[in-house]
Amino acid sequence: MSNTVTPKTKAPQTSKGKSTKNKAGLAPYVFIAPAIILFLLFTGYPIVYSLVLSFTTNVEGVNTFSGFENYIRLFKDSLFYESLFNTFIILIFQVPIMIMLAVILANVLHSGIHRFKGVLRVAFFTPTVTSLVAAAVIFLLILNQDFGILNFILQSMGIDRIPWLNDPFWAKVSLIMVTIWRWTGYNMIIILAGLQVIPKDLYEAASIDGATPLRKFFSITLPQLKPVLLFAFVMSTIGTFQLFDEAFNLTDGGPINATTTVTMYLYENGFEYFDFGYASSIAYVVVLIIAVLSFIQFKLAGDD
Amino acid sequence: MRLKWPLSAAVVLVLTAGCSENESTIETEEAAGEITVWAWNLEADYLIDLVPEFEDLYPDIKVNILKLSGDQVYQRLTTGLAAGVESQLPDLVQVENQRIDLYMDNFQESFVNLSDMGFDEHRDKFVEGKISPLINDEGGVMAFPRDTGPMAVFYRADLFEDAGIDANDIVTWDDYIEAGEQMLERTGTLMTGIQLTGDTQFYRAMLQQQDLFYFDLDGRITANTYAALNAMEKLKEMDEAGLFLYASNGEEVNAAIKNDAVATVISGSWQKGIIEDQMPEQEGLWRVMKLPAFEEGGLTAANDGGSNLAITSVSSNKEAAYLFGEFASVNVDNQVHGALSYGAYPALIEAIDRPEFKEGDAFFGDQEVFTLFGEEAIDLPVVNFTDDYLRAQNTFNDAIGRVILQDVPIDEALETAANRLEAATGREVSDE
Repeated sequence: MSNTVTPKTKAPQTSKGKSTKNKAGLAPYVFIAPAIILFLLFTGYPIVYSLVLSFTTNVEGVNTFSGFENYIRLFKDSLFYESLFNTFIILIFQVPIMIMLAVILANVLHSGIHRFKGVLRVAFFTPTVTSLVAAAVIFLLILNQDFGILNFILQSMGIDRIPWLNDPFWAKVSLIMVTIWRWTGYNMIIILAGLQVIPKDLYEAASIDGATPLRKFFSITLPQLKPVLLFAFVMSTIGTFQLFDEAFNLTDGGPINATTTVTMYLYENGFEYFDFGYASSIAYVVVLIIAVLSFIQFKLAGDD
Repeated sequence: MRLKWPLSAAVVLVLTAGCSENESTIETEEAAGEITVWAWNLEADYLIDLVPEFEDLYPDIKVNILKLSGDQVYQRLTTGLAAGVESQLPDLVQVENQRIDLYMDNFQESFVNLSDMGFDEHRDKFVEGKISPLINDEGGVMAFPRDTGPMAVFYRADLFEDAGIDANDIVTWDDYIEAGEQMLERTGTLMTGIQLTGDTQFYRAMLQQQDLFYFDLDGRITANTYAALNAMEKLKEMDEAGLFLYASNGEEVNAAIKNDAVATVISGSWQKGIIEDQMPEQEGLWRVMKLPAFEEGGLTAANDGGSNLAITSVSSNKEAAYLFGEFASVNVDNQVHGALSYGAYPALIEAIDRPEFKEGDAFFGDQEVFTLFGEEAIDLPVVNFTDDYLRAQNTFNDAIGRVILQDVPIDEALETAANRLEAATGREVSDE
């Protein structure tokens, strides 16, 4: 109590200086606190807990520490490798085709068509926001081997019916088709945004030099789009590793696990077999793979 | 958005596994108050029908039935049990036989042992094949048995006639294959649909006919047994004879039925409801016969499906939940109503014997369909579902896919299945 009295003369100065400094320093944290707290609660905690969980197994209803058992089991699990292989196949075929389509569509929409621009953008973007459960029902009807409309069209053109969902190879093709249908518009919008910031004078200069439209595309558009394309590639790679609803709703991972993606395998183990520890270890291995792949992509595309 | 998935998955992982202890609250003895029941589809409709009469009997109890989808019930139940919070769980919940062990083993003490509440007096009133899987290691009944799915062959009488096949001649699977070849030859119609991505139920039936299942009664994996090989060989024979319409799931099979593309369906008794519901134009064309056996005089019965009602441990109104569960499962009139209105075939022996079931069914050309199901229901073999049922189902279906689609040798496919199940479940492999 005594010391509150003694520095009386000094007090106003210090408290003034301190308090303004404090207010200025604290305010931003107060404003971002809700976001930080929510992030820690719903993202940070689960991430950490999932790591802990990956070192446990459920023994008669109780989670017990089991060391690296889950990871060792994972590296011996042929189904895990199969699901990883499926994911890679989808990645290798789907992502390049999709980005290529997205670039073409974005360019067409950017320069060629003026009248229905808005409508077309919406049309291409709609699949991204469509409920995939609803879409899957439609695709199941389209792809039905015996009564589907796609095979009906093929047959009327004299082509044999294709076992879209009943054959391991064609099921993968079907899944890739649906994924392309769903995500091309999303990437197209990103690339469209990228196209709009390319300086016009580059094209004007090229025109003066007599460059053909094709030459302009390869010499100006593509190099200028590089950061945007890199972004699209990295996001799509991550997205492919998280591919779930498409496979879950359309093919349920089959036949013979031909379309089981890693995320689906994770889901099956966690939420169907209640093997949460094992599912967590899958999640962590997938995170590691994504990190490595993203790093490689940045290395390959970076260094400008 | 795609990015969101791992986050939400991680969150759910934590929510479900983070807090696995749940203490049951103090049991209240007086039967009064409100109870909530979760159920899906037809079972929910059945329970809703019972409420007025039940509330007349017990005016102090109010019953709320929440009709969800099957997936919703399981997802909510899983997260609710993990959290162990009463407000997140129903008092009574519908659970199928094949999932009971999964929940009981992973969330121990999550369901009330009905024997402690006096259910043992009703124990012998149910067919053995239904109630056995509901009994835990200590001999307690863990859920109220509701319907069963005795399996049978549903067939098109008109197509059989066109092909000159007499259904009475089909006694063994070999006869069935022969009839199928004749069907294909004379009418061009395929014999039946096989679900390549979904669930090949009749493989499971074939195992049951040899007194086995994915697991034997000791919980050992059966993929290496003679019975598994034998059943798979029959499937392969059927495939090589060209009897199968390849479908990816049950909906595609139903589409094939609707389009007159298959002549028979091998399924649980609930298929009756599907055909009547979705193919009304085929009224009068259908009949039912027992499953073919492996040899003459062999077992024809097999079970597919059927659910139960379990009381959750966190319920604060167990007494009322018990009374309603008892009313829904032991009352004979209610069982008959459930079967006639919703096709849920009863497991209650007294109900199976009721005269209502002996009446001919117009949709099935006045055949006494329920009598046939009844004969099957009594004979249902006892099977061990275990808590690894879903993993086993997926693994066995993979083996079937490999054999049918990729011509992998049968013993090799089954060997792979056995190894995978052994590694994933830590169970022994039986080789009898």
